[in-house]
Amino acid sequence: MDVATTAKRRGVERYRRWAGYALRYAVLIVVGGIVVFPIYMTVVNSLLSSTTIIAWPPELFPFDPQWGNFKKALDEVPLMRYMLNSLIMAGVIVIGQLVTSALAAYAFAFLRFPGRTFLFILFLSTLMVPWEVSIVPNFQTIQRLGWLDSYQALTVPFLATGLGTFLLRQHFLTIPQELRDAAAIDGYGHIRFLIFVVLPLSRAILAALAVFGFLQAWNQYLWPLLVTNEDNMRTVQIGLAALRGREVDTFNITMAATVISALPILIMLVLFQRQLVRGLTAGALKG
Amino acid sequence: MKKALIFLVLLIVAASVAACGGEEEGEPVDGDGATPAAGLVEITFWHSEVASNLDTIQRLARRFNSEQDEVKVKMAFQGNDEETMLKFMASLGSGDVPAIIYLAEVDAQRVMDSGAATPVQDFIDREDYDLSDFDEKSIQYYTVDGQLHGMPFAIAVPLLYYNKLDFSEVGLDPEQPPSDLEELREASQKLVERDSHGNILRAGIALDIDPWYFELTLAEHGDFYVNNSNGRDGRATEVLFDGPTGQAFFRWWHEMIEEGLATNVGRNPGGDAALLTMGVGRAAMSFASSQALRSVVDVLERGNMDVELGVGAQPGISGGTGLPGVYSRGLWILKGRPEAEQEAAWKFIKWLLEPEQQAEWYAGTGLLPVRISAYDLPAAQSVMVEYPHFRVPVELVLETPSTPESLGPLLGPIRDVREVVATAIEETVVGSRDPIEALDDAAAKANDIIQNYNRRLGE
Amino acid sequence: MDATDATANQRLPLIAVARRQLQRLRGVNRLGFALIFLIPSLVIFGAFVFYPLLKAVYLGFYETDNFGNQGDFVGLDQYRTVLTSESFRHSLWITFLFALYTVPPGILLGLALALLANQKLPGISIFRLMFSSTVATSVAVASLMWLTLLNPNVGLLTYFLVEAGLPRLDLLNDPDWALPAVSATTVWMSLGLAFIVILAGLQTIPDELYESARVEGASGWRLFWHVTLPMLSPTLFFVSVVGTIFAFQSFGQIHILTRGGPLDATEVIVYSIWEDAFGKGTPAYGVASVQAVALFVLVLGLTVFQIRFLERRVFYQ
Repeated sequence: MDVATTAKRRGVERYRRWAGYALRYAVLIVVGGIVVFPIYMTVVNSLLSSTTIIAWPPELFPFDPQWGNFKKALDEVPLMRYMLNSLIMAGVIVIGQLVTSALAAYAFAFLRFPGRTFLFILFLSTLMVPWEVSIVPNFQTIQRLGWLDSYQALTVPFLATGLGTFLLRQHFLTIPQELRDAAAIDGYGHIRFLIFVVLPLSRAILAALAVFGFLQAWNQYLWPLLVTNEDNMRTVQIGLAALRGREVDTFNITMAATVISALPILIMLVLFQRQLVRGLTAGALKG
Repeated sequence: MKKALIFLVLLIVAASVAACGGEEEGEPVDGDGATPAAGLVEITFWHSEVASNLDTIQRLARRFNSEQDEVKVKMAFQGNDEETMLKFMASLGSGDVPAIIYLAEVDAQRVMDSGAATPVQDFIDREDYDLSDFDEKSIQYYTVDGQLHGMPFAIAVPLLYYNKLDFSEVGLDPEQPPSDLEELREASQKLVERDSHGNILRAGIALDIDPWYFELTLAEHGDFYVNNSNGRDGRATEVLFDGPTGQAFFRWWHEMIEEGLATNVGRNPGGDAALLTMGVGRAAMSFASSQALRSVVDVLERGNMDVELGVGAQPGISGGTGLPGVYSRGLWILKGRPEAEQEAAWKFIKWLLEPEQQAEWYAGTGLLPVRISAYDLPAAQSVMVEYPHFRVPVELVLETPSTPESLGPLLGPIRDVREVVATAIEETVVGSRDPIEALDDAAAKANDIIQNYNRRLGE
Repeated sequence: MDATDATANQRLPLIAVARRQLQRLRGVNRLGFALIFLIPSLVIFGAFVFYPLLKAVYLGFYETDNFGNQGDFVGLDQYRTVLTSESFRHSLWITFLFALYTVPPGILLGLALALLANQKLPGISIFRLMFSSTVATSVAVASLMWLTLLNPNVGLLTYFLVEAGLPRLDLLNDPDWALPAVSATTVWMSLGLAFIVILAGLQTIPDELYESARVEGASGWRLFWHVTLPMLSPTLFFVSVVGTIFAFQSFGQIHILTRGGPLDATEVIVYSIWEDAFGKGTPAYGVASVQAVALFVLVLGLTVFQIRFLERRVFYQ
């Protein structure tokens, strides 16, 4: 092969490579755009004025961003209070779930006792009971306990998780026997073993569970709707939904409120995305 | 680790902002937040007001709280009318009831059946409270066997909202809104605008599926909704709405949609769908209560929409009275609270019923006062001058007689019956069921519901 | 046999009994100890999962009075009337459709996104962030977003439809389109999570497998079918099972978007339960409970079905 042909061939190869790259990026951009599109429109709408929000055709870009909308959203509804409630609720639930499922998973993974299989299946079966099935009796229980409009009502029913226990147990089982033996020799009782050896080794999966648990709790709509009447106990989801009945041309304020309430999760996502994937990869999914 | 720290810091910052901000946002009726005086009674007030009405009621509560230091009122928004009623029902089981609940008039019989309310007659008798200045119809509405159970607070009148610009555009007189449904149909035929594909750009009227329209059509025509004088001469046992008036109304609605003269906006749980459709120019008319009047006027003031507002009485079937009835929303004092709170509730209610507050309420909402002398006060007078629309519901109220037909039904399971009617309307408007068939089916289902309700009551 | 032998013969069974008893005691002891770890979860489950399930079955036997209190005993009549009613059969059908419209597309789209984002391109993490972003939107947030997009007066999607020459459709109010519209919202909502989980699964597939397959001459589609898919099957199975369970629990978006309408077009069982218990003028807890029990049986059945039949095709290492 002479120099000219080689150069041409390399040129063609380089062209193909760049074309390949371009195509791949194009697909990624288009798909990403479609996925993110509703979020994008919401952010756009939150920055529009009350005139442009009802424009037809709808505006695609806020050429005159109304940053004041965010302040108005905070004034319209006690958004910060709602977020605080959601935060407390989700936070307590996550901590509670981690504690109860770590304890239970420990028992299932490291302790031998009669009825272990039966109890484990019992834990798993809680996954099959859809929340809505228990809603009426649970509501009545909360009523009878006098817990309406309280943080207890929002958190206590969710402090245990069958899924979390299952995933943690799977992970605990991968802790090598040598470690357990070494700990026993060092005189570590169960609690110390759990706290100082097992948990640190399970950081990734615990983080993943925490994030998922937080998401689920933050997301709750039906239950908080039922058990809160007072405005100051409402969570973000309910508060936002109540905004639906607002005035016609304050869509933009509603969208601003939506953006504000989505921020914590968005930030969490940006910060912890990699942990999430790593935590899931940590072998817990293999059945 | 660093990321977790960042997140934690953000959380703490957010939490502190929320904790601080929590006092000022929301329904700030705490005034200057001074420590409550000894003997201060706090009461909760459940309501369903939004937009301008919400602002007005919060303003009133705030003023009440600041003008005296015996009672502090806390406002609690519970959703729309239906949702507030549901919340109320749910609270009965736990005893977690508010001191005052503000409900639509239709729920009156339900509240009375629950036995959860202290009849205001008790308070009235004790003080010899004078009711002579009150609109007779609203008092009549809540009176059963000579006892006034709930306290009427504000009157809603069903209105037709229309765009005067559209009317002029097609050669209709903008000062003469249709006076019955036939005229409305004819006007719509002129108002409909289509594009080159034949799609409808503007319909005559935007209609949301609200069973209330059905009730007031019967009232307007002088017909009963249920038997036993609309439930006022003894408990209602069956419906009477499937007569000629009811049929004509169902047929009218069905045909309006079919011929493309009306746009269906669905169940409208948010309350603004029909008005929004009118606001963006996709319809020239819509039905709504005078309860929304102030909010609509405010929105139009901002000048975003190409609408010149006109209001008229909501039209009924031809040959009616032209008066679609008045609907007095009421306040209830609930038994489940201690004596001191009930007394405090009565104090607040009396204050709200003073002509001065009644006038302010009228000017801020479009709901009419139950105190007739309120109309003479400056607040009321000036709003009627500034917004001539506000005069329309007033004229209607003063003309409407106090008969059991025009007052509307007093029925325990009214909400369930309304749901049945709404489904029937939906079937004939969204589905393509024959309107008379749908109506008859609704009547049968409604009778079932009423009979079951009465049976369960009797146990 | 001498005397010692005799007592030894007597002692053996005694020792055996004693040993067994000691084992049992130790067992009980061990159980007791283990229970310390399990009690927190068990208490919560007992109070808020198992008790309600039993109570729901119980409530199904009673009528509800006009104010939500327990009424007359009606035995199996209520079960029979509700389960054979037209409206229940309708909600079953809608629920089935909804699951069909949301679970398979959700898995397929999640898989597609994960495959796209698994490429080693510079800046790929931005795209991963975009694909997972729907996780940040909660039920209410996502529903409001889509409510606005689909609004016939101001919605962008409506605009696209009009530009395409269609009339200004009000999808959420159209009985033929309401369920697909709600399903699309639901798929979108769960896309981020499905993406993250499947991506994690993809990343656990060791490169050596791909290389050895390529050495044997496989590429493109065959690689996917013979390497990726089998290795991904536990993940996909997990997503399918959990996804179905979640699909059957969808409530928030239906409540915000359509309220179960129009004409019950989006009345899934969960929504019907809500309506009967909390959405009616006269609360019908009994009727709601019957449906709740039916829902439990349904979900249980589906999960068992998936475990029995789908897990056979899952390839475990």
